Amino acid sequence: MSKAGRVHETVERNSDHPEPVLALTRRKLVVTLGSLGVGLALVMVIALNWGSEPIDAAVIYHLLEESIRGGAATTRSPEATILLSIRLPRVMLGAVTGAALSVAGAVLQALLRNPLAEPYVLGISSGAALGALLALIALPTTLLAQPVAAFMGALVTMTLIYAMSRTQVGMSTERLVLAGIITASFLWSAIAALLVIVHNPSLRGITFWLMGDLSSGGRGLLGLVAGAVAVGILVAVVLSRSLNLLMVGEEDAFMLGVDVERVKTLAYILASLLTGVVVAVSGSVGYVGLIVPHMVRLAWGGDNRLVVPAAALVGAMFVVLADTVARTAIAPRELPVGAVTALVGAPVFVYLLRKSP
Amino acid sequence: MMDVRGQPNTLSIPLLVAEDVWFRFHRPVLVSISLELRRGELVALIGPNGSGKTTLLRLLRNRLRPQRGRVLLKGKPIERYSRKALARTIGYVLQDHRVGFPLTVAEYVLQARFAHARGWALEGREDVEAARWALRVTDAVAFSDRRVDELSGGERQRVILARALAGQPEILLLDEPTANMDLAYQVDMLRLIKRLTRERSWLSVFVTHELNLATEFADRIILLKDGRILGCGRPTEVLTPERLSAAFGCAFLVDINPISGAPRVSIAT
Repeated sequence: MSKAGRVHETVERNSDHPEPVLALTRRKLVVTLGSLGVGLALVMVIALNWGSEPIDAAVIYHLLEESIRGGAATTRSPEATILLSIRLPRVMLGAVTGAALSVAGAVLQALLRNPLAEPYVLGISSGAALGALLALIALPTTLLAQPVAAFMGALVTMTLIYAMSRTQVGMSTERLVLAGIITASFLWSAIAALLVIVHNPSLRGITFWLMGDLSSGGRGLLGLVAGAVAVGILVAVVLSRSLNLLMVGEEDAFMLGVDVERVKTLAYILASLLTGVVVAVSGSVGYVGLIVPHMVRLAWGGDNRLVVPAAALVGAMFVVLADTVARTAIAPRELPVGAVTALVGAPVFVYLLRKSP
Repeated sequence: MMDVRGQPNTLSIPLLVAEDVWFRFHRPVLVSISLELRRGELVALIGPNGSGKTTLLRLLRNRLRPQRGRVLLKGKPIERYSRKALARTIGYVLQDHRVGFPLTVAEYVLQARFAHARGWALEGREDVEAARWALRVTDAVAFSDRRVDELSGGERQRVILARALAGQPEILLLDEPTANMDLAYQVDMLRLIKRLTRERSWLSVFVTHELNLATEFADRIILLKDGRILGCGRPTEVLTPERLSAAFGCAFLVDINPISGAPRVSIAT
């Protein structure tokens, strides 16, 4: 090989320079997720502190410690009741909701190869809401029916969206967004019609829930929902390296050794699970899955092995903060948290739409 | 077919074999294709649009299964290899495509190491070394921090090649690897592919519409027309004016490039 061309000369020129760090390092992963974890803890303490009755951070710590040891149950002060029965479940639910929706968004974006994909924008939240509502009407006493039906509703909607936006050359942004808008408006109409037809007094307050509302604190389902969300996020983290490849293209992923069909099926199920169980208790909190993964990618790059867990933590922070705003901004009245996230999210959506090819 | 370092090659078994392969999709796309491809060989696949070049590459990497006949990799039917094993053996360079996410060049190139990892893992030293080497030989180190979606067409094409190389395959299949590149880089890239094919005893097959690049670099040329092999052999054997006009439907003049000694194809109108 005597005919050394431009390529080989450059080899020598570049070999003098120190080479850049190429791969995602364990250090970056640990430092980023560690500081986000600390950030989330701080945000949660702030959220527990704020409200009509401010509670001191030291008192919060004391009460939490006591409740973990199980000592305070008999002699509850008003402060303890507010903190442990009202604010804490609400803050926890906010964290679970934010984490779930953000990870669902990140997964859908990788899967559909589109940074605009998001449970609310695609109408998947509406499908889940319709499912939950049907369960509430048909089986009002079975607590478990709602999250299960919401999951099914999300899964069916997801399948429809996928079928509608797929073209022969792959997914197109216009089709995806249009399919989402059409599906969402259809499902919202179905929900509205259902509410009028059934006209059940037990459904009062349901419109507030539909717009995203954390005041229920999970209605006894918090533990179950948190468990399902934890499983969903764990599966997303396991799939994250495959999602990196899928994000570039199915053909690429296939030739680089990804079991494309299996990863896609799993990812669809887990995105539906994360959306469904959360909508069943919190209603449809919109745009979280759009804003949060976008911020995370801007800050730390597009590697899903970092994006997925970081989106869970940032999403938890985001919804807890948004809900704190929702319940304090016009106190003593409350805004639905979904209204707060949508006020932030819709402009972000427009920005991303203008940027997309 | 000799190794540049003079070491003996395991040339007894052809690396990749197509045995009477047929494929139809609405119409016959490939008709009775038989090929034997060996280590150390650089093969050009040429033919008019729609002649079945890309389909043949798909069959050779088990992306499509033939309806008749079979493809053998190292003597074993290709469908018996696992997805990951195949990804480690065959590197594929596809036509240019967009990436809609803020992926850096380094992240993109490291994707080729997926099939080398056991499950979920961060890349190790070996992976990073392979990626560095691939970026160096494709002259892409300078923009390894940049985002893939911000590269020019030619830069992106080099990065796509770098990703295939980072997987350290034994077979390289390239679908129009030099599209979007200026002439100097086309020559550089094929020179690099030829050097690696020789030094590492790889097999490389590239699809191209640049007939003169095919004659300058390829050891063998396969000429496809309507899914059939119209010619297969050394450039001088395959690229005759008669065969070319039968394949492409216009008149050609073939003479000898006075510098390289390879056949030179011009359109004769």
